[in-house]
Amino acid sequence: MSEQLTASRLLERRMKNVGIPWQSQRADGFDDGIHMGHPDTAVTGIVTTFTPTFEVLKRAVATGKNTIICRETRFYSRGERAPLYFRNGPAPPKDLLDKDPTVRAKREFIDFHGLVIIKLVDNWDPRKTDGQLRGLALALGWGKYHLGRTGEKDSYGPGNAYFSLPRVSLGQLLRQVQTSLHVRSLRVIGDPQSPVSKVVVTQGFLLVAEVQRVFKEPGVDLLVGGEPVEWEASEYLEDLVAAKMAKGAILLGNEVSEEPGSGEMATWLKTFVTEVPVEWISAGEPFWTAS
Amino acid sequence: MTFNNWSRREIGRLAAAGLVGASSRGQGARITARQVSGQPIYVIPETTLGGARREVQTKLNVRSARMVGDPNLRVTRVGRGGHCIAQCMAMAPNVDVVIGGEVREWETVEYFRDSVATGERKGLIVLPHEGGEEAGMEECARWVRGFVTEVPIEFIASGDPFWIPQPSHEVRTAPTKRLETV
Repeated sequence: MSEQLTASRLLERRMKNVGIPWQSQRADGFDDGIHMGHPDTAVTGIVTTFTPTFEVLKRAVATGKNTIICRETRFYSRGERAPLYFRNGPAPPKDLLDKDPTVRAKREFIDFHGLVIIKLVDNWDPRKTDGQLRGLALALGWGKYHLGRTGEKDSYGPGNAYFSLPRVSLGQLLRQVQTSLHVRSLRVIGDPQSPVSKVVVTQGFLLVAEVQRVFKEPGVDLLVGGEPVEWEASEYLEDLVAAKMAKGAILLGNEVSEEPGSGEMATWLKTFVTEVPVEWISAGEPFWTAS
Repeated sequence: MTFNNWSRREIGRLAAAGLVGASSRGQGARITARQVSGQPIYVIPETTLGGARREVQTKLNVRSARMVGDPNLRVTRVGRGGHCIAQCMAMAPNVDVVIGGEVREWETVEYFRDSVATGERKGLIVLPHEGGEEAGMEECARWVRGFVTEVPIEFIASGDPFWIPQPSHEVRTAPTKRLETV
C-alpha cells in the first residue's frame, strides 16, 4: 500500500501531471491552490465541478467524497484584488459575509464535513489539450466537424476552436444546442433565419478583445460562448451582425459553457488518481426563463 | 453634464421606479408599487417569481430577463439590487426578490442559488444591462428638452440585444441536473 493521498499530495501529483510549467501564484491571490480546508486532510474522493454550489457539496458528501476541484469560488467573489478585466464589482465586505445566513450555513457545512476546496483554472486552461474546449465541443456533438490543424497531434489545442457544420439556419441550430446541452435559458443575438456553417466555440467570460480575435478567422458565421460583458462583447456582437460581418451568437451562460470541461478534468484526474473515486458533478444551469 | 453626474442624480431612482410602475415603456402596467422607506424596495400585489419576471419584461420591453429560484415562489417585496453582489446581498434579507441588471454569473447568481439551497425563500431576476438603464435615458431626453428647444430631442431605445428561444418541453420541465456522467 502506497502512502495515503492527502490534499497536499494531490496538489503535488496534479502539478507533476499537468504537462506545462506550473504557474504558482497570481497577483490577485486567486491561485490554483487550496481555498478552504486543511492540506493534511486525507482525500476520500474527488468531485470536479464548475462551481462549488451548496447542492454540489451536499452531493459530494452524500457519495463520500470530501475534495472538490472547481473553477469558481465558494463565496461568490474572485477576491478583492481581482483584476479589472473580470468586470466585477467590489467583493462583499467581510462583515456582510460573516453575518449572511447563506454564507454561514455553507461555511459551517464545509467545516463540519472537513471538505477541501481546490481551484484549478490557470494551470488547466493552457494545457496542450484545452479541456474546456474539448468538453464543450463533444457535449455539443461537434467533434466530427472540428477544423483540426493539420500536422498537430492534439487538435484541441487552446484557440483551435473552429467548426464547420453542415449549413443550417440559426434557429435550427438553436434546437440542436438546446437538446444536446439540455439548456433552458440560452440567449441569442441574430436572425433565426440566417444560414450558418462556420462556428467558433468559446467558454466562460467574454470580452471584446476575444470576440475580435476569434472573428479574425475568415468566414466565421457564429460565435458560441458563455457570459458576455453586456456593454462590451454583446454590443460588439450586435454591431457585427448589423454590419453583416457575422450572423450572430449563442450565449449559453457561464456555467453551461464551462461545465463539460469539468468532465474532461475528471477523466484526466483518473489517469493519476486511482486509489479514490473521481466524479464529475455538474452544478447545473442556474437560470429559469419559463414559468 | 457627465454620465456619472446624470447617473448619480437620476438613473438609479428612475430605473427603480421604471421597474415597478412608473416607466412609460411597454404596455399593461398592472402592478401598483409602494416604495418603502426611501430604499429602492417596493411592495407589489402578491404574484409569483415567474409572474414578476413577465411583468418586468412587459414594462421594460425586454425579452431576455432570467431568474434564479423557484418560478412559483410567492413574492410581494421587490428590491432593486444593481450590478454588484454586495448590493444584492445586502438587500436580500429585506425582500422576496431582488432585481439586478447584468449581475456577474459567478457572483450574485451563485449567491442566490445557494441561498435557495439553504432553504431561503428568495428569488433573483436578472435583467439585461440595457433593460435596467434604458428607462432612465428616456427620462434624460425629457430633461434635456427642458433647456434645449432649438433642435429636436429624441429617445431611441437600443433594445434588448438578446432573445431567448422557447425551449423544448423536455428541457423546459427537466430538473436542473444535466450531463451527469463522464
